[in-house]
Amino acid sequence: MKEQTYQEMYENLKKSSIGRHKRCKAKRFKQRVTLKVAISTILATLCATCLIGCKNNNNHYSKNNNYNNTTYVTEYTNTNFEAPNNYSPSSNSYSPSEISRYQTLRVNELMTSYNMTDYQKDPDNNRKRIYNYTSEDYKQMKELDETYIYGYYLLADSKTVDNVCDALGYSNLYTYLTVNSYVDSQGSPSVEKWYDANTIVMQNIMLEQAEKGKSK
Amino acid sequence: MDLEFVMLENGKKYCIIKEFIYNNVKYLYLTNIEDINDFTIRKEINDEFVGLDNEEEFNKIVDILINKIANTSTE
Repeated sequence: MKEQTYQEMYENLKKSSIGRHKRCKAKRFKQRVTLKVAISTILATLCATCLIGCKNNNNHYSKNNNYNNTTYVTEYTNTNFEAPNNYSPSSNSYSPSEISRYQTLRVNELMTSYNMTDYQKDPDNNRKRIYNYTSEDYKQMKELDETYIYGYYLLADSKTVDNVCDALGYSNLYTYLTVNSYVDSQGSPSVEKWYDANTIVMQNIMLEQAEKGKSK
Repeated sequence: MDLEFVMLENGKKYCIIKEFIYNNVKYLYLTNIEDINDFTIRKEINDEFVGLDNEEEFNKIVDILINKIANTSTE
């Protein structure tokens, strides 16, 4: 197998994917493969995807040199959200990275406004925070509603997310997902379904915030 | 084990790793089973697999892909 650097892998993916002249009949077929082939394909693909993800994130974040690309969630404290430079009303949408970034900033802003800044970095995942507050503390936050949960999910550890859900009337995140029918085809709680269903809501919050910023 | 494949315009056979819909268009993330360093993305329009329009679309789709795979791994 030919070895490739992350850069090469990313560039090859870009080169092989872009171009409307690349077209053919959409025919699919199923084929039986050995378990070894299947597993190696899936593993290689997941690894490559992670590498491409790292590369892509580096590209994306290097355009925004306000924050460090590896610790932006936990270290970024500027809560004045501005619409990304490439925003135009005609596109009317933000990328998943922009949504994720804004959601974490929004939670950070809310927590800071209540002086709830007591947290440690999660030793298992240093991009996440472990907040030292109970669900009773979160109940005191007037602005807290269900649109904040996804931000907590990105920014904080699972216990914090469960405490926030509890403050909103759900015992934990899984209950929240299940009650709101964010479940996969097997009926299991699905973060992916949750994200997909709420993309427009989250984008609208960002658009509203961006409009407020412009009108100031 | 059965996997789903497509044959692209270059005559190579690719395995479908991930499919998702964005802006009412179905996108496929594919890998060549004979060269697992060979990845590509196509969209399915009018019964055809078509390459992406430009770098802007590519960046958006890669973002979504990463997000979906990251979310899948946390479930």
